[in-house]
Amino acid sequence: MKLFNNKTFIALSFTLILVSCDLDIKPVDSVVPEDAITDAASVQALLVGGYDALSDDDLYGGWIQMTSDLLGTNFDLNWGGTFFDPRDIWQKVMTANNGQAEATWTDGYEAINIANTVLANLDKAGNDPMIEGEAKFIRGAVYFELVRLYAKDWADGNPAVNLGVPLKLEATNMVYDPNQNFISRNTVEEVYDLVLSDLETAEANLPEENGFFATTWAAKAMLARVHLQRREYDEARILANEIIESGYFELADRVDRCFNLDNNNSEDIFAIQVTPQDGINDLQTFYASRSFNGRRDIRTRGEFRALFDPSDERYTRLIYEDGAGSGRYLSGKYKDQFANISVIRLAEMYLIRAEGNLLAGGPQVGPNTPHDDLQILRDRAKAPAAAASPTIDDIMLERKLELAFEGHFVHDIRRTETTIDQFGPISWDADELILPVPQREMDANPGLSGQQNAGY
Amino acid sequence: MKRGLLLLFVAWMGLSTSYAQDRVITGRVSSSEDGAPIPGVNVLIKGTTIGAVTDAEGKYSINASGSPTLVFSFIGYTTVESDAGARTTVDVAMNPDTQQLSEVVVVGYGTQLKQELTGNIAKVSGSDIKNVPVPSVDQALQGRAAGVFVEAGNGKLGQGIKVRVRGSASVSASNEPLYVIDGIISTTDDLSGTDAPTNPLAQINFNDIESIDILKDASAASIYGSRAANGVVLITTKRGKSGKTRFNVGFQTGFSEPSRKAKWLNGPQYYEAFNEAFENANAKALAEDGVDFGDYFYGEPGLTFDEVLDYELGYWEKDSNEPWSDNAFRDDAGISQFDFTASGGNEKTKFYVSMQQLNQNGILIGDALDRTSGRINLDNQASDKLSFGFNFNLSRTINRRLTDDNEFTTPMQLLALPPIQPAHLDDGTLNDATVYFNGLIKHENSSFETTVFRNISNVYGQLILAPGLLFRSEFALDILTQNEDRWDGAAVDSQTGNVNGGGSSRWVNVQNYSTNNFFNYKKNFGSIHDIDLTAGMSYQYVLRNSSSITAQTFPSDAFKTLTNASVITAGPSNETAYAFLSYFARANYKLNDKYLLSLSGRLDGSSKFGEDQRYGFFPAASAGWILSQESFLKDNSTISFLKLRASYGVTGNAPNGNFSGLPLYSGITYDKLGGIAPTQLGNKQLKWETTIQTDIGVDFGFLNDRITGEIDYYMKNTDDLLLNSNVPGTSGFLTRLVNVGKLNNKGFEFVLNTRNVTGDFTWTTNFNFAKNINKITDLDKNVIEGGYINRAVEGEPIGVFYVQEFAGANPDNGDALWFLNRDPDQTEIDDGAVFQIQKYGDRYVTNDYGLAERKVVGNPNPDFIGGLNNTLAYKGFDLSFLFQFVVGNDSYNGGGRFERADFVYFDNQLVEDWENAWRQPGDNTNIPQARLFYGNGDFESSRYIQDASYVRLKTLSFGYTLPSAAVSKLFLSSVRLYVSAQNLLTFTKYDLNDPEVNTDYLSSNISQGNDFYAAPQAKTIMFGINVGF
Repeated sequence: MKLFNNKTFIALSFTLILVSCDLDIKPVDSVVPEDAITDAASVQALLVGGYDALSDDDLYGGWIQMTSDLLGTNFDLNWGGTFFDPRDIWQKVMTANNGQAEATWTDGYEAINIANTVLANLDKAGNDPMIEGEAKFIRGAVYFELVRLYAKDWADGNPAVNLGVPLKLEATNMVYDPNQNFISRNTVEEVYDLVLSDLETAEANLPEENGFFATTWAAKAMLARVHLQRREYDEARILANEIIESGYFELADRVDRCFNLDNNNSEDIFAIQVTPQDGINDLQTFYASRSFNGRRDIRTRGEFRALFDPSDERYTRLIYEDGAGSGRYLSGKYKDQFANISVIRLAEMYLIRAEGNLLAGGPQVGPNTPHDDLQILRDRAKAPAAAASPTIDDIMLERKLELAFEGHFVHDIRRTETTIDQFGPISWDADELILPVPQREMDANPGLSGQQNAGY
Repeated sequence: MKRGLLLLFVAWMGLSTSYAQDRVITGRVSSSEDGAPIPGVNVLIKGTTIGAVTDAEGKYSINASGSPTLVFSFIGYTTVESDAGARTTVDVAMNPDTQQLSEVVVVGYGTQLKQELTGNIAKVSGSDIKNVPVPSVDQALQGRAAGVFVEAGNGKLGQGIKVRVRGSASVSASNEPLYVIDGIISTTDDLSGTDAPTNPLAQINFNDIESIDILKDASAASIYGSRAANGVVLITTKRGKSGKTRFNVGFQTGFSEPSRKAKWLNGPQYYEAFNEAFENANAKALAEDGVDFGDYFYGEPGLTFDEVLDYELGYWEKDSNEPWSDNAFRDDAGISQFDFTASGGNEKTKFYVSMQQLNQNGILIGDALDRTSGRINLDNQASDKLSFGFNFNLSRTINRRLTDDNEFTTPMQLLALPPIQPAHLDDGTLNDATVYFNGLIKHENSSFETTVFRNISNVYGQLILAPGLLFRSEFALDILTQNEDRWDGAAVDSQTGNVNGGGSSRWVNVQNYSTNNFFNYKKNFGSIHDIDLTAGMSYQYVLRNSSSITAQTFPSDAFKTLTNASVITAGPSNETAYAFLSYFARANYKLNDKYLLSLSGRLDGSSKFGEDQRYGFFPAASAGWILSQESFLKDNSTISFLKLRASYGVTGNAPNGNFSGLPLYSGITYDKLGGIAPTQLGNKQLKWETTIQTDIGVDFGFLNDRITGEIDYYMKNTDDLLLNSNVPGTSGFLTRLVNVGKLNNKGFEFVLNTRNVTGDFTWTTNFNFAKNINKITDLDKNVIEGGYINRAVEGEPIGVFYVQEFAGANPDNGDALWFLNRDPDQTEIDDGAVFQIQKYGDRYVTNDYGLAERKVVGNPNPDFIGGLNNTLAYKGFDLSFLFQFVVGNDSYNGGGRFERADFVYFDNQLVEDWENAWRQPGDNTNIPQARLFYGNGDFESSRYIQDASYVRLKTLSFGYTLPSAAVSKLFLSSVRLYVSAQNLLTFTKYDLNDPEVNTDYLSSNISQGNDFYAAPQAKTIMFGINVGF
């Protein structure tokens, strides 16, 4: 039976063949830039992306703090566990391949690029100064952390000559241009200048309240830290004083009530938000015991615990044994897996004001003497009275008792030119206390040729 | 054979007096080996379309007139032509044909006779791999096809298998061949929700496979265009044949155990060894810092070894002797498999129906794979011009899986636990105070089940438009639905991060639709010109949807479904799609049955390519010369077949991602607020990788094809490699996908098939051997790292190990040493950081790891691979065994820093490391002194690289087919009993578990040859029976 006329069938077949089927398939899980950044709401969304980048576990989500403490521990903590990169940081035997050093660097610049992209698209948001302020807060904070981890300290030699980190201030073109990105390291001074400029803009543009996002107080607090690191004690104390006297913040009524919180409390000046759906509290991962689902890789040492008076609640409530009889004592600041991370809290401002008043000279700034400021913290901690006339050693000790494991160890060591004896003696300006420029950067960026840190 | 010929002669002589006229010719076809009848043989009157098929008793009956020549053909036997003359009975004995030259080979969109091929195609018949006890067909191919390297990364069931046809041709895109099942480019992506890959091929019952044809050179593969650079594996499933319906029932069952196991310390050895390490460390602390071990490490002077164990270990008992490494294996590992097939039909309709139930327990606790599969393949000749048919395959696979190799909970990591820590406490509960998590707790308090529903179906119609011209249209769908259901109880919270248990449920659905429509024209002109033209189009659209939910906090372990979880931590859903539109054409020309020429081309367009590069063209050309048809060789008694061939062509390799050329922003969340962030740099010129391959080959047959084989030399040059080229991190991005880079593969393949003995006792051998040399020639100065120490770098093969070079222990003091591998500074020599020792002459060594330079110290790619298969038969007994070998590949032990680490921490160590450690000055050994906590050489270095060459007795099968006389009394047509073994013997110097290794959580193109607590392959022994009726 002839089903089809040959000719019609051939025609049919050719039609079938020539039907052009669709090759234009659009992505839906992600979108192209023209569809992504269009108006003020999307620029605001990008800013949220910037905060999210800042909260990465390799930045304020944990590793900025832990890197400083692993580097600067002076018989305060031990690192156990299997990860090599943190162990090498702790033992000060890093190589240029250290994965943690690489992660903090690359994630830092990821946050910087988002901030730069927000600034480049400010016009779509009506040039809103508050958005500018928030983007510069993020950028300034990250550049500050990078320059004080990857470069020589401000007071070590000549910052106008010492190499800092590369300053990238324009948004990376998504249609990639290599020349835009083969940049070299700027000097320590240039980086600090940018940090001060960004944070001062943030200080001026940001409101006093902004939910859990950056406020003018957060910018001031970050600036206080910058000035403290530069040993500019007068500027530091003035800023700390403004924050304390503003009335916006209040110390929590008990030492352990500043930690393991789902939401910011009265003491938080700036905190990273962590929820069960989103964000990682990597401090909890490494500090918490197994019973809290942590790895308990960071343990306190006996010498550290011996610094506390037995009644000090920062000892009784914030240090616990990892299972009875184990002999392992962990920091209780990080127990809840989904708790926020307090980046800056009010207690630190008291300490900065005290240190500033002690070292800056001239008339006292604010209503309290250094003794008074230390006493406020001691009262809260139900510890014995502070020294009547505190010395710098007393203040540094109080910083350790109050702020341990919050990312201050190596920076305090540097500022006070202390020698580290654990794995030591290691001088405050030693090469081993400076993170290497990641090897992948040296390999990918010819602009960095010859600019690796000493010792790597 | 002699008896068969005699039979033929007598028959012919006896009947030569019959006269020629219209009549029915009958006869019986039997096998020359044993006289057994061969059912299903095609009998054809030469020059006509009059045909018949032999029945279950080998008998046929056919209408004939005049003096016809009868042609008897059947797969696996040499075709016989018998001049019937005027006879009415023609009985024929057929010889098994093991050299396949007269076989038909499946090529893209058609078939060709092997002897007329100008390309290189390796063929593996379904019967060779039938009943091999592995879940997926790719694993069953190991060692059977020249140049096809198959490696199972570890012994877990159902995982992704690495297949490389003629080397790795890509760095960042896929290196796996294209799998075409009955004309459908099938879904073979890794759809796993964990780092360890799953394998869609494990959903296919490969007992349904008639043949596998692997297109290896450009001439064969280019017809598949931009996805063919890694070779194309064409899988053809069985079809029915006309004749009485034949049933077959098979059952096999067996047990499995690990094929090899490394030797770890037992309880008393462990205590003694670590005590020694403690003493050594104590001495070091005293010597260097004037304080003892306890003071140095804990701030507590006077600490004893037992006290240190108390601090670090958890619950331990000095006289406990727990065989932790054995606890990873289950003692009920094995397989049981039931197969049923029915096939038959008449001249108009033919069918093949099959069903399989497979239940396999892997060697690791908690590892299992069950598969239920069914198939109907149907062909119908609707009229003399129109035929159509369909294949319908449905399967359900349930794979009970384990956590990835790098998780503390995975069974193989149990070996790290100290034998002085018992697995169970006195009250019978599991010991949860072990130095690392006790994985047995995970085993008893969790489940991970991956269920896959797969439907591969197609329908075709074929219409003869004119003599020699046909049009074929195919529509196919390949639908895969995979569910990964995980539950973890509260006891595992410390490992999962859950609070009071948790779980996840993930669904992925891949809909793969395709259509092929093409013409084929075959014609012979003037009896010497034969042409075979094919032209058509193909369109494929693949849509992938997935959604998952992760939740935690159950009221108790009694509630395992997520509806009872109180905190939902993630619930994403995703969608992505791609399409390919292609036009192809091929012309094959044969002159005088001896000169061959083939040209082909394919225009491929895809949504995956950048907008400036949508379409690519992939041509190929090849030629052949059948020398043995020339007058000077035609009657040569030694050379029965000789063909020279050469091919040259272009194939492509498409990007893995569907939108890799677009700049992209993705959504992010920050504390329940929606945000966006830039995630991908764009590239409008993004295109496929291009491979140009040249192949020169010889096919030969000697002594009447008693010895046959092939020799090939090939060169594959790949350009436009897709690379995630490193960009400076200061840009805010890490990489960008570009086409830059070149690599090449060169190699040599040798295939030899011999019929060593024929007659009552037959013995044939098949040998295949291949050598491939891979070299990356241009990566735009990038160095791409992968694995632990693998890298892709210019001037080296992909995946080389680049690391510090270990120099053993310093004979004077037991320090670990590394070679400096660079020129030392004078200051380094002066202050003793760098020095020379006697056994290395003037090479500098150092005990400061940071001073040593890295270099390329090993290569995970094999130097050569192959297989040797022997098949013997005698009077109903059959024996076949396949040796498979991989030689010259290195492996790196990523776990070495824990399990061969001079007792730096409390992981169990290899016995040989304890025995051979440095103990006193003068000891010349590669194992540095044991030093608790100090670490002495437990850094990444060539210390953990070793040669992983091996030869395996891969498959051994011994069977007995009952005599047909006995069997037919039971109304059966055949019964075969057999015992078979997989991985029965392994010969290797590898001192960990298994040299065939690539740890699952890391496996990638570059990360190769890495062993990180990987499970060994299973050794399986099975008994089976196969009944035909």
